[in-house]
Amino acid sequence: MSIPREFKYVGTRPIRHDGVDKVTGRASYGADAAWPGMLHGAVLRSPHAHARIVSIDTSAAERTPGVRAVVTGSDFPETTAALALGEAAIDLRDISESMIARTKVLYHGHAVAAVAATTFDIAKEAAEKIKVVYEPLEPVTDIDRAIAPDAPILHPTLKTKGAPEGATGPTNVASRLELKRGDVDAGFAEADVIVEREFRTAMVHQGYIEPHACIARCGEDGRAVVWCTTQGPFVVRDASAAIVGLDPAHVKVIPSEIGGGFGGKIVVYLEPLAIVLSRKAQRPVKMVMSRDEVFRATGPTSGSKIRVKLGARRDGRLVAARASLWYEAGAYRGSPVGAGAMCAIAAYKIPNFFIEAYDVVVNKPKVAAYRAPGSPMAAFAVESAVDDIARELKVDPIDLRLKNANREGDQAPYGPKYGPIGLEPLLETARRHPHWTAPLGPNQGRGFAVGFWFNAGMNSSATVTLNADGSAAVVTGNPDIGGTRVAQALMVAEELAIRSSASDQASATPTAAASPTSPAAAASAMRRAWP
Amino acid sequence: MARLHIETTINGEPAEFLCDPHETLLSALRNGLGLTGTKEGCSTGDCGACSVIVDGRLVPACLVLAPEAQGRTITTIEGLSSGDALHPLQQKFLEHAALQCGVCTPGFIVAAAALLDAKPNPTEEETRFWLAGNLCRCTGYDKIIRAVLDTAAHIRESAV
Repeated sequence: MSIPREFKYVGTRPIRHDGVDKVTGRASYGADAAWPGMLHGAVLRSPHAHARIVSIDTSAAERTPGVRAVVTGSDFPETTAALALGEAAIDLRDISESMIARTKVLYHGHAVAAVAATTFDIAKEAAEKIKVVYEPLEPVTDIDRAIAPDAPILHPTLKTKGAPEGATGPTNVASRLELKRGDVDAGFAEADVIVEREFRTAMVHQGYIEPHACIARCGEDGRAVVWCTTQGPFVVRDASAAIVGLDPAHVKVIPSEIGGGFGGKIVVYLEPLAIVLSRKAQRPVKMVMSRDEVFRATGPTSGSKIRVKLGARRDGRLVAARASLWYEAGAYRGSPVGAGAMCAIAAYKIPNFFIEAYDVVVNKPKVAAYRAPGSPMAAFAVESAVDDIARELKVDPIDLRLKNANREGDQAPYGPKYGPIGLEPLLETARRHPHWTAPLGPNQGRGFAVGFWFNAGMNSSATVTLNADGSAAVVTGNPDIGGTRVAQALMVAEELAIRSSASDQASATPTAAASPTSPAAAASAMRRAWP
Repeated sequence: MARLHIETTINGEPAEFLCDPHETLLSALRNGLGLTGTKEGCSTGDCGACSVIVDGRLVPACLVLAPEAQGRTITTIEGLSSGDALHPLQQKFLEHAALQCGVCTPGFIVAAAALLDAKPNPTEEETRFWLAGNLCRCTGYDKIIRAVLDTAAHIRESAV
């Protein structure tokens, strides 16, 4: 539990350490570096959302003058490794197959081959000469089609984790989980007001302005160096090593400045391709996605279908909740539906609830983390239903939420007891704010909603060195995701009671020189330093 | 394909480069001349990250062909600061924390510089309209607008 204290430096707003480099254009982002002798890579992507790959003929590309290496899925070993990843866990076989298709393409834009050549234009033209014969299959692009009894199946071997006993046969439902407490039917029986609604949200891309980019060099000794734009250099190191079959100790990742990530720059898309192209060509290989490739082939957040039923007593107390959540995982399992289920009613003290959550594969890019992954869609549905209860009962939406707000010591729907979550004071502050009662002008509206997310730093580390002049230098494994350096410096200055500390190295620290740090740690550090 | 030899003026200095006829000015700046402060966000003229000034006109470098630079005068983000002094816009962007990840920042500053050259005393609405072609995904636009308006006020005061 945190103890309130007076801060001297935390909460102040000094000029950022990386500010001058960024306003002058000197800061080096993923696509800004060039290495001596480097080649340029291009990716051939599937024009089908769902198709079997019958054959791939790369000979015309290989014969093209200037081409130095061509790779397809068969250049990558099978991997069964899994990697723990901050707010989720990732299956590296899925990541590997999402990065480059083997026997099937599962989304429009799925990579099927990559080429390295002396110029980007040559690489691009050579990639287009690769002949791929596809057997197109019916694409599955929404939840309803994916869970229909006659739905085309993306992965013939997929089984529903957490399925009820006796469930058999092929499916697009990768997992099912339940959260429950009390007697939900009895709860609805004692409710005076019940609302039941269904909501749908579309997949949404993180939309960072900087496209994915990297340079990789892999030498005769099998050691690789990767420069790339990423939120998680240690994830890139471990995932790339497993996907290309290298020892993680032999992969060094140097994170560039990052031009936005929002959760979407944790997964590897280009780095293993560039490593294998480089190993074949024995030259560094630079790869930069176009905006089109970013939107077609990198992680959006899940589209969803959510059914919510809430019951309340006339006095405004919520007594029962039932929710069903179906989240699109994209082409490979792993939507954040579990987090959605945990967050859905986490703000409220509801004695009886039943929540079921389904992870559903569809022919779209594999989803990636996106700002409290899984929570916003659930919040949209539940908060809309809470507003409907307020309308039915003709009570103020903030008053209704205050009446049901979880407090310190209450049990979260997902198990543990809450620490100081601050919801009640926040609601009271909002209710007292003049904006809540100010008259509305033409075309103006006003709404209120509560969101919930877990704060977790996961594994993180920092090395602080005291300099002779009494200042301190901070080295961490976090890239600067938009203020991390100064946030960390402020915390170190606060704790050491010194005026200046610099974390200038933070974003340029290669994995070989820092300790493993989770992508969540950078966001967490920022939240702590700028309360 | 024969490469074209282009002579131009960039940030006040004569410059020359070789390019393919279909190459963009953005590519020539970044890859040919090493001026990587001009960023590529979309290559379709939608995001403004590659904003440069050509003969006094604000353009996205991704929609200009490199050969069109022949005989022109080009200003990029690298040309705004002079000596060891930042351009007032660069200073105000720092003071207002008008950047987060920073990748859109050079484009915004170049676009704002073109605005203040054309109109030293813009209204907030004019500033917002002028910068509508630049996308920022992190900070929201408010701090950026405040930094530009504060710069305009600062330049006017300094000139008195």
